Amino acid sequence: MLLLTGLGGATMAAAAEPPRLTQPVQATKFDLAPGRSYGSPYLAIDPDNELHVYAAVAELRRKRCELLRSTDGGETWARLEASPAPPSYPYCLMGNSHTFQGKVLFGRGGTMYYPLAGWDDQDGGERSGNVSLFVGRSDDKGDSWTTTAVANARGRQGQTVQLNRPLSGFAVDGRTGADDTVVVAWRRIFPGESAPNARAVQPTVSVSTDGARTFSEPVELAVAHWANEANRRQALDARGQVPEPTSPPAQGSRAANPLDPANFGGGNPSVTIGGDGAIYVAWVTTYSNLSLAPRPNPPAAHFLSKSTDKGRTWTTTQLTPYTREHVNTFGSQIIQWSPEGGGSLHFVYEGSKRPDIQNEYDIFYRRSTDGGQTWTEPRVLNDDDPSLIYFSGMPNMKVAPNGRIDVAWFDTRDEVGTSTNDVYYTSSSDNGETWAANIRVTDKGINRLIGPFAGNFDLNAPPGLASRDSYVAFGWDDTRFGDSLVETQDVFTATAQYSQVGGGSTTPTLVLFGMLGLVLAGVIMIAFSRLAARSSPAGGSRGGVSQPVSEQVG
Amino acid sequence: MGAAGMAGAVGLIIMSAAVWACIAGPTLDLASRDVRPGEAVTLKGVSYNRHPVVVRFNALDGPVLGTIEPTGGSATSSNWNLEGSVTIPAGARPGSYVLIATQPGPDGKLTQIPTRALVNVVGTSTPVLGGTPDAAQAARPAGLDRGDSVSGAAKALMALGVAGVALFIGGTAALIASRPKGAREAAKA
Repeated sequence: MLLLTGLGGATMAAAAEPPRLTQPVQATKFDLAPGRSYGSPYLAIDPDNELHVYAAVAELRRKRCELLRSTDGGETWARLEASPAPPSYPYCLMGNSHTFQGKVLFGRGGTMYYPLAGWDDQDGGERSGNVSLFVGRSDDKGDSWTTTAVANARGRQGQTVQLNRPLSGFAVDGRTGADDTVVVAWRRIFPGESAPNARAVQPTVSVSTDGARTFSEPVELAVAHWANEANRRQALDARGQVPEPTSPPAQGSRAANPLDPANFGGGNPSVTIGGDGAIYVAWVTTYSNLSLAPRPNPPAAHFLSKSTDKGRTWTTTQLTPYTREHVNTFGSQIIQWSPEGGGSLHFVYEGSKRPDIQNEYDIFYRRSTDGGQTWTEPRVLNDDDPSLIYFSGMPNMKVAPNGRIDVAWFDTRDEVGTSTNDVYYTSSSDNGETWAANIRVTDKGINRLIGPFAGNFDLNAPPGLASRDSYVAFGWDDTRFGDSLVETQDVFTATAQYSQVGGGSTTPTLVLFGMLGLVLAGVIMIAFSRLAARSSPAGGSRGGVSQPVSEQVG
Repeated sequence: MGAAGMAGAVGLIIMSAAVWACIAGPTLDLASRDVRPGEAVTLKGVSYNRHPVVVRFNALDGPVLGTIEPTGGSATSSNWNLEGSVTIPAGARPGSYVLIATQPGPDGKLTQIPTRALVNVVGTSTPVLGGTPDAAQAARPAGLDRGDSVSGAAKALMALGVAGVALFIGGTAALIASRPKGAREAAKA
């Protein structure tokens, strides 16, 4: 395979024929309300039937999570009536960027799991009130749900108020153990503790080993790491020489003591589970009370927390160095495991080789083949011309059963002054060594002057992505039917196909028919041969019919 | 902006790397997309940083049409607004062009991702230059290829099946026809 170095720095593989792209389809045709506003969908393909695709979506104005289903590979969609949201926690909206409002994954036996936030007006709103987390379980492909609380924050007051959002990580292991292992990870915020004594947000995880019937007590993964003073000093030292604050912080406050452990945390954890059941959670550092004008925050780094005992204990190692190239501490870092290379971890995230240019983002990729101990240097996966300074961000990543790695993101390289972005896609079939030339998935640019994607709303999420060997399904929020008045936003889906799907239900019937015909032909041949033998002069009655002796007459 | 940081901020604590983040960057809107050569066009936008906005014509290194000072933001944030006007070059031929807003710092290096806005320069002469903006991609197939077409092997088997059935029917007819006339009559009786 000829290797070409693309403009973006990634090593690109010369095709392999590009996949067959299908026409985008409006998945939300069932909703005729002009003011409909759907977020980007989280996609999953039924492992028992690859034509059945599911989409967890949120209607953002109503703040509710729903489930869509397609039984024809994404050509047509229907909304299911049932919702996993508990009746007393009807709202799932999390006011975060880079965030799917709900997710859906399959476990063993076709069981479906749907994690989501939950709150109501009595909880004080999702900006600064109590937000709880739940996981719904369905044994009938979404027609009904039983829902379990993962973190129920209702009733907390004052300093104990808990904002459990965004729900950023979710993984299901249906291979190991007696029942499905379900892992939920999120960022926990403490709005009741404010500056100069704010508490840094924490990457938090909870594990179920009984198919989401019960969940472990949540664990704040960064606490143990930051309990080590050396780790805190390393982060502070990473920002180099810093000036003194213009206005000194209040004596005795956390801001006055930079080394206070409460000033250090992490956010937006992403989860994957290895083939042996090991749980991997990748999170990015966050800080509080450390950026005192003109002193900046320390740069960000990514860390990997790993558990080999279903979440009872965790070890944390550093995944990426402290660098200002890590421009995003609020979402869109994805970790996935694949069986290739004896078990590999793949990590994509937003970064920038030119962090001094705000919003100049690229898709960075790293890989580990030793369980997260060491990682490759970052590669840029978007292959647009870097001199034109476009935004490529909000990556999503999935791994197909055959090990193909699929990555999709939003990209502005086709933007000609109409404030649009597009869904772009690349893949690797050699465990991340080389990547295919980027493909534009959307058929037309998405106008982001319409809808809550940007414009200081920033209610957005990566493109939805689901991977099978034969095809990849994409989903995104699309404003093509909207205008500046009603700002309609729909869910659109499309597929990139690598091989035929299904195989045709008529073929087995035809094969059977053919074989039956052969059998009948054989029977006929035998019958004729016996007939011929009886009618020969050497013996046997003519016509082959014996008459009773008593009726024989001369 | 993140609730925890901003709720208690009294001007001392800076919420950098904001959890909300204007991830799509600043915006650039034109009061009118159709302008004549030499005419002024009004620009508006949000989510800029504090540095002056330099508006260029049709390329990142294109001619500078004007410099506009953003207003209304705080020192280190990206919540500054843009409002001003620039003049389209008098010699611009009719066609589609891009106005590009950039924010270089004091050292001349970019501090913000460039923002683009489409403008149509109209006039009495034709043709219109430039390609159709945001042209839709060529038509694609609808839906997955599910392999419903019958393969050659299956067709052969189908033919064998038809032949087999035909043999069966023909053979049965031949079998009946080959029985002696008397036997047939006796069978009838």
